[in-house]
Amino acid sequence: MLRHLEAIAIVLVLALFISYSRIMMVTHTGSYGLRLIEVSKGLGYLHILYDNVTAEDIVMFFKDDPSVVYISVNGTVVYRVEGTSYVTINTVFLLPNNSFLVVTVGVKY
Amino acid sequence: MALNTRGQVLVIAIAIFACLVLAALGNLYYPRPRIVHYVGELQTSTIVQILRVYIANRSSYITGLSNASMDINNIFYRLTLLNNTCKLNIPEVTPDDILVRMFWRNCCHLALVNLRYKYFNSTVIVNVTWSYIYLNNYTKNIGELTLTYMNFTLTCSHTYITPQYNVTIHPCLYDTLGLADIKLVDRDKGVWIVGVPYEGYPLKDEYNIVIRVGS
Repeated sequence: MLRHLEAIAIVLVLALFISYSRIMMVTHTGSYGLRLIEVSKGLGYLHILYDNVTAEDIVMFFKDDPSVVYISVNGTVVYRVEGTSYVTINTVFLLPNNSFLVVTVGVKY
Repeated sequence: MALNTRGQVLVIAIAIFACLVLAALGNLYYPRPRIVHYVGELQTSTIVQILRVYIANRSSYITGLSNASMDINNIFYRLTLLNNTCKLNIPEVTPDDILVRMFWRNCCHLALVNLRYKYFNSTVIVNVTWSYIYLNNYTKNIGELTLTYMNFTLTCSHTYITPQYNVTIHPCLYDTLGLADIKLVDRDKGVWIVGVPYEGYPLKDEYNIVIRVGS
Protein backbone atom coordinates (compact mmCIF):
# COMPACT_ATOMS: atom_id res chain seq x y z
CA MET A 1 0.00 0.00 0.00
CA LEU A 2 2.81 2.34 0.92
CA ARG A 3 4.55 1.62 -2.40
CA HIS A 4 1.37 2.53 -4.28
CA LEU A 5 1.14 5.80 -2.39
CA GLU A 6 4.74 6.55 -3.30
CA ALA A 7 4.00 5.96 -6.97
CA ILE A 8 0.91 8.16 -6.83
CA ALA A 9 2.94 10.92 -5.18
CA ILE A 10 5.57 10.76 -7.93
CA VAL A 11 2.89 10.95 -10.61
CA LEU A 12 1.20 13.88 -8.88
CA VAL A 13 4.48 15.81 -8.78
CA LEU A 14 5.02 14.99 -12.46
CA ALA A 15 1.50 16.16 -13.35
CA LEU A 16 1.92 19.40 -11.41
CA PHE A 17 5.22 20.10 -13.15
CA ILE A 18 3.71 19.51 -16.62
CA SER A 19 0.72 21.74 -15.84
CA TYR A 20 2.91 24.52 -14.50
CA SER A 21 5.20 24.38 -17.56
CA ARG A 22 2.24 24.48 -19.90
CA ILE A 23 0.63 27.48 -18.15
CA MET A 24 3.92 29.39 -18.14
CA MET A 25 4.43 28.75 -21.85
CA VAL A 26 0.90 29.85 -22.75
CA THR A 27 0.90 33.04 -20.67
CA HIS A 28 4.37 34.07 -21.80
CA THR A 29 3.50 33.66 -25.48
CA GLY A 30 0.26 35.59 -24.95
CA SER A 31 1.78 38.77 -23.55
CA TYR A 32 4.44 38.92 -26.23
CA GLY A 33 1.76 38.49 -28.90
CA LEU A 34 -0.25 41.39 -27.51
CA ARG A 35 2.77 43.70 -27.70
CA LEU A 36 3.31 42.63 -31.29
CA ILE A 37 -0.29 43.43 -32.21
CA GLU A 38 -0.22 46.83 -30.49
CA VAL A 39 2.97 47.88 -32.28
CA SER A 40 1.49 46.64 -35.58
CA LYS A 41 -1.54 48.84 -34.98
CA GLY A 42 0.74 51.77 -34.19
CA LEU A 43 2.54 51.32 -37.48
CA GLY A 44 -0.82 51.13 -39.24
CA TYR A 45 -1.79 54.44 -37.63
CA LEU A 46 1.46 55.96 -38.93
CA HIS A 47 0.46 54.89 -42.43
CA ILE A 48 -2.84 56.73 -42.07
CA LEU A 49 -1.14 59.86 -40.69
CA TYR A 50 1.78 60.32 -43.04
CA ASP A 51 2.50 60.12 -46.74
CA ASN A 52 6.02 61.52 -46.59
CA VAL A 53 7.16 59.89 -43.37
CA THR A 54 10.71 60.35 -42.06
CA ALA A 55 12.86 58.43 -39.61
CA GLU A 56 12.34 61.24 -37.08
CA ASP A 57 8.56 60.87 -37.33
CA ILE A 58 8.80 57.16 -36.59
CA VAL A 59 11.20 57.57 -33.68
CA MET A 60 9.07 60.36 -32.19
CA PHE A 61 5.98 58.18 -32.48
CA PHE A 62 7.49 55.13 -30.74
CA LYS A 63 10.03 56.63 -28.33
CA ASP A 64 7.64 56.53 -25.35
CA ASP A 65 6.62 52.93 -26.00
CA PRO A 66 8.78 50.61 -23.84
CA SER A 67 7.90 47.65 -26.09
CA VAL A 68 9.79 49.17 -29.02
CA VAL A 69 13.54 48.66 -28.63
CA TYR A 70 14.79 48.88 -32.19
CA ILE A 71 13.96 50.91 -35.30
CA SER A 72 15.75 50.87 -38.61
CA VAL A 73 14.90 52.77 -41.79
CA ASN A 74 16.21 51.44 -45.09
CA GLY A 75 18.75 49.35 -43.18
CA THR A 76 20.06 52.24 -41.06
CA VAL A 77 19.50 51.85 -37.32
CA VAL A 78 17.90 55.04 -35.99
CA TYR A 79 16.86 53.85 -32.52
CA ARG A 80 18.17 51.08 -30.28
CA VAL A 81 17.77 50.14 -26.65
CA GLU A 82 20.87 48.11 -25.79
CA GLY A 83 20.75 44.82 -23.97
CA THR A 84 17.28 43.67 -25.01
CA SER A 85 16.28 40.89 -27.37
CA TYR A 86 13.50 41.58 -29.84
CA VAL A 87 11.49 40.29 -32.75
CA THR A 88 10.95 42.47 -35.79
CA ILE A 89 7.98 43.78 -37.73
CA ASN A 90 8.65 45.04 -41.24
CA THR A 91 6.59 47.50 -43.20
CA VAL A 92 7.01 49.82 -46.17
CA PHE A 93 5.90 53.35 -46.98
CA LEU A 94 5.47 54.49 -50.58
CA LEU A 95 7.03 57.93 -50.87
CA PRO A 96 5.82 60.63 -53.31
CA ASN A 97 9.07 60.19 -55.28
CA ASN A 98 7.94 56.63 -56.15
CA SER A 99 10.46 54.89 -53.88
CA PHE A 100 9.73 52.64 -50.92
CA LEU A 101 10.89 53.34 -47.39
CA VAL A 102 11.52 50.04 -45.58
CA VAL A 103 10.94 50.32 -41.84
CA THR A 104 11.86 47.61 -39.33
CA VAL A 105 10.59 47.88 -35.78
CA GLY A 106 11.91 45.60 -33.04
CA VAL A 107 9.44 44.58 -30.33
CA LYS A 108 10.84 43.48 -26.98
CA TYR A 109 10.69 39.69 -26.69
CA MET B 1 12.80 2.53 -0.76
CA ALA B 2 13.02 0.23 -3.83
CA LEU B 3 9.91 -0.82 -5.74
CA ASN B 4 9.37 -4.38 -6.83
CA THR B 5 8.43 -5.24 -10.42
CA ARG B 6 4.68 -4.85 -9.86
CA GLY B 7 5.21 -1.47 -8.22
CA GLN B 8 7.38 -0.25 -11.10
CA VAL B 9 4.80 -1.37 -13.64
CA LEU B 10 2.16 0.45 -11.63
CA VAL B 11 4.22 3.65 -11.59
CA ILE B 12 4.67 3.50 -15.37
CA ALA B 13 0.97 2.74 -15.87
CA ILE B 14 -0.08 5.65 -13.68
CA ALA B 15 2.42 7.99 -15.41
CA ILE B 16 1.03 7.03 -18.84
CA PHE B 17 -2.51 7.44 -17.55
CA ALA B 18 -1.68 10.89 -16.11
CA CYS B 19 -0.16 12.00 -19.41
CA LEU B 20 -3.23 10.85 -21.30
CA VAL B 21 -5.52 12.66 -18.85
CA LEU B 22 -3.45 15.85 -19.18
CA ALA B 23 -3.50 15.61 -22.97
CA ALA B 24 -7.28 15.14 -22.89
CA LEU B 25 -7.68 18.12 -20.55
CA GLY B 26 -5.37 20.15 -22.78
CA ASN B 27 -7.71 19.56 -25.69
CA LEU B 28 -10.62 20.74 -23.57
CA TYR B 29 -8.97 24.14 -22.98
CA TYR B 30 -10.58 27.21 -24.39
CA PRO B 31 -8.85 28.04 -27.67
CA ARG B 32 -5.85 30.25 -27.16
CA PRO B 33 -4.78 31.56 -30.53
CA ARG B 34 -1.05 31.76 -31.01
CA ILE B 35 0.49 34.34 -33.29
CA VAL B 36 2.39 32.90 -36.18
CA HIS B 37 1.90 35.72 -38.69
CA TYR B 38 -0.33 38.56 -37.53
CA VAL B 39 -2.22 39.95 -40.53
CA GLY B 40 -4.42 42.94 -39.87
CA GLU B 41 -4.31 46.71 -39.59
CA LEU B 42 -0.69 47.05 -40.65
CA GLN B 43 -1.14 45.32 -43.99
CA THR B 44 -4.37 47.11 -44.92
CA SER B 45 -2.99 50.48 -43.78
CA THR B 46 0.05 49.92 -45.97
CA ILE B 47 -2.28 49.45 -48.94
CA VAL B 48 -4.28 52.56 -47.95
CA GLN B 49 -1.10 54.64 -47.85
CA ILE B 50 0.08 53.30 -51.22
CA LEU B 51 -3.29 54.02 -52.85
CA ARG B 52 -3.40 57.52 -51.38
CA VAL B 53 0.07 58.36 -52.71
CA TYR B 54 -0.91 56.96 -56.10
CA ILE B 55 -4.14 59.01 -56.20
CA ALA B 56 -2.14 62.12 -55.29
CA ASN B 57 0.33 61.48 -58.08
CA ARG B 58 -2.35 60.62 -60.64
CA SER B 59 -4.54 63.61 -59.84
CA SER B 60 -1.55 65.98 -60.01
CA TYR B 61 -0.40 64.49 -63.31
CA ILE B 62 -3.83 64.73 -64.92
CA THR B 63 -4.27 68.36 -63.90
CA GLY B 64 -0.77 69.27 -65.09
CA LEU B 65 0.55 70.05 -61.60
CA SER B 66 3.14 67.26 -61.83
CA ASN B 67 5.25 65.83 -64.64
CA ALA B 68 6.03 62.47 -63.02
CA SER B 69 3.53 59.66 -63.45
CA MET B 70 3.43 56.50 -61.34
CA ASP B 71 2.38 53.07 -62.61
CA ILE B 72 0.15 51.28 -60.11
CA ASN B 73 1.00 47.83 -61.49
CA ASN B 74 4.70 48.57 -61.18
CA ILE B 75 4.18 49.75 -57.59
CA PHE B 76 2.50 46.49 -56.61
CA TYR B 77 5.10 44.45 -58.49
CA ARG B 78 7.84 46.13 -56.44
CA LEU B 79 5.76 45.59 -53.31
CA THR B 80 5.66 41.86 -54.10
CA LEU B 81 9.44 41.80 -54.41
CA LEU B 82 9.76 43.59 -51.08
CA ASN B 83 7.27 41.18 -49.56
CA ASN B 84 9.54 38.29 -50.50
CA THR B 85 12.57 39.87 -48.83
CA CYS B 86 10.98 41.70 -45.88
CA LYS B 87 8.07 39.32 -45.05
CA LEU B 88 5.36 41.98 -45.08
CA ASN B 89 2.55 39.39 -45.05
CA ILE B 90 0.91 41.06 -48.04
CA PRO B 91 -0.22 38.69 -50.80
CA GLU B 92 0.64 39.17 -54.43
CA VAL B 93 -1.64 41.78 -56.01
CA THR B 94 -2.35 41.33 -59.71
CA PRO B 95 -3.81 43.99 -62.06
CA ASP B 96 -7.19 42.21 -61.76
CA ASP B 97 -7.23 43.05 -58.05
CA ILE B 98 -6.79 46.80 -58.56
CA LEU B 99 -9.38 49.40 -59.49
CA VAL B 100 -8.63 53.13 -59.65
CA ARG B 101 -11.13 55.64 -60.99
CA MET B 102 -11.20 59.41 -60.96
CA PHE B 103 -14.66 60.88 -61.34
CA TRP B 104 -13.87 64.58 -61.64
CA ARG B 105 -17.45 65.57 -62.48
CA ASN B 106 -18.81 63.54 -59.57
CA CYS B 107 -16.10 64.93 -57.28
CA CYS B 108 -14.68 61.55 -56.34
CA HIS B 109 -11.37 59.66 -56.55
CA LEU B 110 -11.86 55.98 -55.84
CA ALA B 111 -9.25 53.24 -55.42
CA LEU B 112 -9.85 49.62 -54.46
CA VAL B 113 -7.53 46.66 -53.97
CA ASN B 114 -8.39 43.05 -53.24
CA LEU B 115 -5.94 41.18 -51.04
CA ARG B 116 -6.28 37.45 -51.72
CA TYR B 117 -4.90 35.54 -48.76
CA LYS B 118 -4.88 31.76 -48.63
CA TYR B 119 -7.86 31.44 -46.29
CA PHE B 120 -9.63 34.81 -46.63
CA ASN B 121 -9.86 37.92 -48.77
CA SER B 122 -9.64 41.54 -47.72
CA THR B 123 -10.82 44.54 -49.69
CA VAL B 124 -9.24 47.92 -49.09
CA ILE B 125 -11.06 51.02 -50.37
CA VAL B 126 -9.80 54.60 -50.45
CA ASN B 127 -12.45 57.13 -51.36
CA VAL B 128 -11.66 60.83 -51.69
CA THR B 129 -14.79 62.93 -52.08
CA TRP B 130 -15.53 66.60 -52.10
CA SER B 131 -18.57 68.77 -52.77
CA TYR B 132 -19.11 72.48 -53.25
CA ILE B 133 -22.01 74.92 -53.23
CA TYR B 134 -21.86 78.24 -55.03
CA LEU B 135 -22.32 81.21 -52.71
CA ASN B 136 -21.68 84.50 -54.54
CA ASN B 137 -19.25 86.53 -56.62
CA TYR B 138 -16.82 89.20 -55.44
CA THR B 139 -14.08 91.28 -57.01
CA LYS B 140 -10.43 91.23 -56.03
CA ASN B 141 -7.57 93.46 -57.12
CA ILE B 142 -4.36 91.66 -58.04
CA GLY B 143 -1.80 94.26 -59.04
CA GLU B 144 -3.44 96.33 -61.73
CA LEU B 145 -5.98 93.64 -62.54
CA THR B 146 -9.45 93.40 -61.10
CA LEU B 147 -10.73 89.83 -61.15
CA THR B 148 -14.15 88.43 -60.42
CA TYR B 149 -13.93 85.60 -57.91
CA MET B 150 -16.52 82.94 -57.17
CA ASN B 151 -17.16 81.97 -53.57
CA PHE B 152 -17.95 78.34 -52.77
CA THR B 153 -18.63 76.38 -49.64
CA LEU B 154 -16.40 73.32 -49.97
CA THR B 155 -16.42 70.05 -48.05
CA CYS B 156 -13.62 67.49 -48.47
CA SER B 157 -13.11 64.08 -46.88
CA HIS B 158 -11.17 60.83 -47.19
CA THR B 159 -12.80 57.52 -46.30
CA TYR B 160 -10.68 54.41 -45.76
CA ILE B 161 -12.61 51.15 -45.61
CA THR B 162 -10.86 47.94 -44.56
CA PRO B 163 -11.99 44.82 -42.69
CA GLN B 164 -10.41 46.23 -39.53
CA TYR B 165 -11.65 49.83 -39.58
CA ASN B 166 -13.75 52.39 -41.40
CA VAL B 167 -12.21 55.82 -41.01
CA THR B 168 -13.22 59.21 -42.36
CA ILE B 169 -10.82 62.14 -42.09
CA HIS B 170 -11.05 65.74 -43.23
CA PRO B 171 -7.65 66.88 -44.52
CA CYS B 172 -6.42 70.47 -44.71
CA LEU B 173 -6.49 72.21 -48.07
CA TYR B 174 -3.94 74.49 -49.66
CA ASP B 175 -3.49 76.38 -52.90
CA THR B 176 -0.43 75.59 -54.99
CA LEU B 177 -1.13 78.31 -57.59
CA GLY B 178 -1.49 81.04 -54.98
CA LEU B 179 -4.61 82.67 -56.40
CA ALA B 180 -7.43 81.32 -54.26
CA ASP B 181 -8.80 82.61 -50.98
CA ILE B 182 -9.22 79.75 -48.52
CA LYS B 183 -10.89 79.97 -45.16
CA LEU B 184 -11.53 77.10 -42.76
CA VAL B 185 -15.06 77.14 -41.34
CA ASP B 186 -15.41 73.82 -39.50
CA ARG B 187 -12.33 71.61 -38.95
CA ASP B 188 -14.30 68.66 -37.60
CA LYS B 189 -16.61 68.49 -40.62
CA GLY B 190 -14.03 69.59 -43.18
CA VAL B 191 -16.00 72.67 -44.29
CA TRP B 192 -14.19 75.50 -46.08
CA ILE B 193 -15.12 78.70 -47.88
CA VAL B 194 -12.97 79.18 -50.96
CA GLY B 195 -12.86 82.01 -53.46
CA VAL B 196 -11.47 80.99 -56.84
CA PRO B 197 -10.85 83.03 -60.01
CA TYR B 198 -12.28 80.42 -62.39
CA GLU B 199 -14.35 77.25 -62.46
CA GLY B 200 -12.44 73.99 -62.12
CA TYR B 201 -9.71 75.66 -60.07
CA PRO B 202 -7.36 73.00 -58.59
CA LEU B 203 -6.68 72.85 -54.86
CA LYS B 204 -4.59 70.27 -53.04
CA ASP B 205 -5.22 68.60 -49.71
CA GLU B 206 -2.49 67.85 -47.18
CA TYR B 207 -1.80 64.51 -48.88
CA ASN B 208 -1.23 66.28 -52.23
CA ILE B 209 -4.47 65.00 -53.76
CA VAL B 210 -5.90 67.47 -56.27
CA ILE B 211 -9.56 68.43 -56.12
CA ARG B 212 -11.34 70.85 -58.43
CA VAL B 213 -13.68 73.60 -57.31
CA GLY B 214 -16.50 74.54 -59.67
CA SER B 215 -17.72 72.46 -62.58
